[in-house]
Formats: sequence, C-alpha cells, structure tokens
Amino acid sequence: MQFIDPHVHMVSRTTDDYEAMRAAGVVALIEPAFWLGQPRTEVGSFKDYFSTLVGWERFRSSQFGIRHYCTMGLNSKEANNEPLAEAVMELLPLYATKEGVVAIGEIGYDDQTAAEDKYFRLQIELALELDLPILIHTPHRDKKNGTYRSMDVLEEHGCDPTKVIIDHCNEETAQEVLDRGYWTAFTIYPGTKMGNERMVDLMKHYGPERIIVDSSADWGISDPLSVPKTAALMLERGIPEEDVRLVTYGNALAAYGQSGQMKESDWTDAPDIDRSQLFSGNSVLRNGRKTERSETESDNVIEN
Amino acid sequence: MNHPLHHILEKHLAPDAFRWLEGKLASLDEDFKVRTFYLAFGACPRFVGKEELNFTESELSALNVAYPNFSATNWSADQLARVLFMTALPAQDNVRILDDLFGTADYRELIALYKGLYFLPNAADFVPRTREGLRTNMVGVFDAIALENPFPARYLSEDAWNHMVLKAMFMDRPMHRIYRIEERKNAKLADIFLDYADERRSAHRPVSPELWRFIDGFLSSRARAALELTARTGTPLEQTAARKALDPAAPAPSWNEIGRQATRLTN
Repeated sequence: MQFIDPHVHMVSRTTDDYEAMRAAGVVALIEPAFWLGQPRTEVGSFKDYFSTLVGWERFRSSQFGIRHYCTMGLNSKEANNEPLAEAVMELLPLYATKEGVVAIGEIGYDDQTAAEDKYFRLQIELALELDLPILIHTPHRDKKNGTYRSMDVLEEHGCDPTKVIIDHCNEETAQEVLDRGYWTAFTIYPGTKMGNERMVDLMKHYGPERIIVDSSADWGISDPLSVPKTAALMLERGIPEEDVRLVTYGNALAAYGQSGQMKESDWTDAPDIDRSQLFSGNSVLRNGRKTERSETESDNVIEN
Repeated sequence: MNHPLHHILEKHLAPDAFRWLEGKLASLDEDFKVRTFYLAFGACPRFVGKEELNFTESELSALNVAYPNFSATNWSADQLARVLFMTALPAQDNVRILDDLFGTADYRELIALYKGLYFLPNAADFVPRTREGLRTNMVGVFDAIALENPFPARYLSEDAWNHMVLKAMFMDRPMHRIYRIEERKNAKLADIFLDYADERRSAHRPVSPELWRFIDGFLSSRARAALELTARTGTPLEQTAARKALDPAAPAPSWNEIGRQATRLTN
C-alpha cells in the first residue's frame, strides 16, 4: 500500500527515518511549520526555518523518493512573544504563496492566551485571503475547550469546515469535530497523544469518512512509521482495505489537495528516485548498503 | 517591453498565461513595488504553468546570442517568466531586491534565479551571490549554476572557478557539461586534481575518468606517474582517459565523449 503522512516534522528526523518511511510505502508527506522544542528569539530564525521547509528539506526528502509538502504558520506557543509574532506575520505572506505550501498551519491554541487568540485570527484571515486550507493544532491541556473554541473562532470568521483539518483529536473531541463538518485528524504518538490500538477502535466506531491518521513525529519520542504501522494494525483487526486507504492516503490528499498545490500525479508521474540528483554523501541509496552486505561481514563495518 | 524573452514567451505561452504576465509587467512598469514583484515571481508556476517549452532552431540561435549556450538545457514556462521578471527590475536596485528573494526562495525559485542571472545587464554584480549559491548541497541548485550556465566561465575568478569545478567533481556531476570547461583549465587546478586523485586512491575509492582531462596539458613528472599508473591499472575508460592525457596527439575519443561515457557508467 501507499501512504501519505500528512503531519510529520522531518527537520528533526534522520536519513534512516526517510529510508524506512519509503520502504514502508510512504510516497508523500506534509511538514507543518511548528516550534523547534525551544522558543526562537529572532525573526531570522523563522525565516531560515521556513526556507528550509521549501528548500533543503524538500530536496532531502526527494532523494528518498518521497514528495515533500509543507504548511506555513506561526505556532501558538511562539505567538506569545508579541514583538516576534508581529515580525513573523510580516514574513508569512512571502512563504504562504510558495509552491508546495498546502495550508496555513499548524495554528490554534496552546495556553489559550489573548496573544494566541490574536495571531490565530490574523492567520485565519490570511488563509481566507490566499484561499488556502487551514491546519489546526488542538492543545494538549484543556483540550476539549481549546478544540471547541478553535472551531467557534473559525466559524466566526466564516471558514468553510471542509477546508479545515482539526488535528490531534481524541475520543472526547472527535464526535463534535465530525458533526461540525471538519476533517478530523488523529495523531499516533506515544504518551502525549495516542497509541494505534485506540485508533482501530475509533475506526470501528466512526468509519473512514473525513478521518485522517498522522504521526506528528518530531524531536520527541515518536514514530515516523505511525501511519503505515497503524494501517497494518487496522488490516489485521479487520478494517476493510478501502477504508484503511482513505484514512492513511485518500482523505489527506482530498483535504490538502484543495490548495491546488498537491496532486497525486506529483508522485505517480515522477521517477521513483531521481538518481541524477543524488549527492555523493548519500551512498545509502546508490549502493543499497543494507541489502548487499554479506552475512559474514561484521555489523561494525561502516560503508566507505 | 523589448526583451528577447518577451517575444519568445508571447509565442509560446497560452493566451491567458501571457495576458497575466503582461498585466504584472505593466503594473511593475507603472508603479514599481517590491511586494508586487515578489508575489508575481512566486506565482509564476500557477499562472504560466511548468511545461518545458520547445523552441525552433531560429529562436534558439537568437536566444544563444543573448545567452550563450541557452539551447543546452531545458527551460520551462515558469522559469522563463521568472527570468523576464528579473530583467524588469531597475538595475540600480536589483542586487538588493534579488538578495532578499534569494534569501527566501524555494527550490524551484532558486534554480530559476541562478539560471537567469546571465540575462541581467549588471550580471557581474552577482558574483558574490553565485559563490554563495555554489555552497549549496541541493544538487538541482548547484547544477543550475555549474552546468551549461555561461555565468561562471565569464564572471568567476580563477579561484572561484576552481572551487566550483572541484565541488562538481566531488558531487559526481557530469564535468563535460560545465560551460567552457576546456578553456578555463589551469595549472593550479591540475595540481589540486592530482592531490584529489591521490586521496581517492588512498581511500580505495574510484577516480573519475573525467578527472584526467584537467591534467591534459599540464604534464609534470608527478602527473605523468599518476597517468601511467592509471593507464596500467584503471578500468577500460580510465585507461583511455589516462592515455589520452599522456599522448594528446594519439587518436582517442574527445574529452566530452569520455565524459558522456563516464556519466552513463555511473547512472
């Protein structure tokens, strides 16, 4: 099967992860702009991060045959540094219109402060102006209120729920999010979000319509194979293949494809891996290191 | 607007794509705003498309006058539209405006920017930018500067040129596709490549057959020893290359032909 991981922070991941994701069937991914685990203090750090998302990381991903897309936005945590947030808001239009930017996001609430609310609303307006989908990060703490409040604000600004993805949903928030017409995304991330057995149960309860599975893998203890592993578990536990395909591929494509920046032909018509574009440092792919190693060779040998 | 690219795009773009382009150029001409320029530059793929354009022989020879070697690479509609926008900038401000754009550009924008620099009347002002660009590890961006582009041969100093050529070899790029690679060979570069060949041999790594073209014409005793070793122990193509450098008068394939064969072998 082929998969899309519609939420994964690849700047924090290694080439081993890219290799494993491709081997597991991931053909495309979306990297939402987020925070880096520690707050930035200069607007230049945002600029270079945004440039990395549309430049270096896109290239890095392509070497492994995975199409890389991203979303652009000021995350809610860093919205609390207002002078910085103002400067980032000036930078955003420049990046939001770039090729392969499929949404404004991830935006929403963290502590639900006044500053968070202000920059959330300004970015909703930017998405409406540019006619881009929106990716909502729902908070870890006070999740239910934060999720409902996010939807209230979106509706106040006249957003069409079919162009909004509400992420990090759980058993407590899913029904309301679905009822109000939004794309409902679940993050398979151990500890802070959810394991994939719960996801199988959710699928049995809700079915595949408007449901999306992602990994949100980042710099924490997380798993970049969450999407393919969850698909495998769903199949093992009797979910029909067509439904699995919707929640691990088709729905993400339909939701983010509304940007006009993401089409299935981007990867189906592209060469698997463009070998003429490989940098010599990436001999992993060129030599097929792992498959060609002889059985007598020590595990301690590193390829030359 | 009377730029050769303008006439070409008029013939090759769909009517609404060309109308969009004309509209943006006109608004930049009437009331130049940097923001309008940035947004128009960014939006090119959406409004003019990404198809590769096919030119007639006579169009290509006209373009090769404005931009030597133009016909050696493919040009897409959005790339040429972006280059046309670059040429529409006031020349006294274009370094500053484009520096900001380089600083925020995506992968595809970077390629168009670097391919387009030669078209600018003050292209020489972009040498520092080009040297910065050559520090990239994004292969497509490196290729946009180093391969078939007339800018480096015309504007880079010998040291900058040598750094670019060495990096191209290090990245396994097809050396024969560097424009004017033959004319800009030099003794310093030959020495550096001899060191590089030694380093590769000590590391038990192959030496590209294309390396020996940089030694051809600079036959020190050290070069001769390295070439003789390669002529004895190399792969068939390495042996051909080493013998050619040792005896340029003997019948042998051209360096470009050796380069093409080497590229075929590694891909």
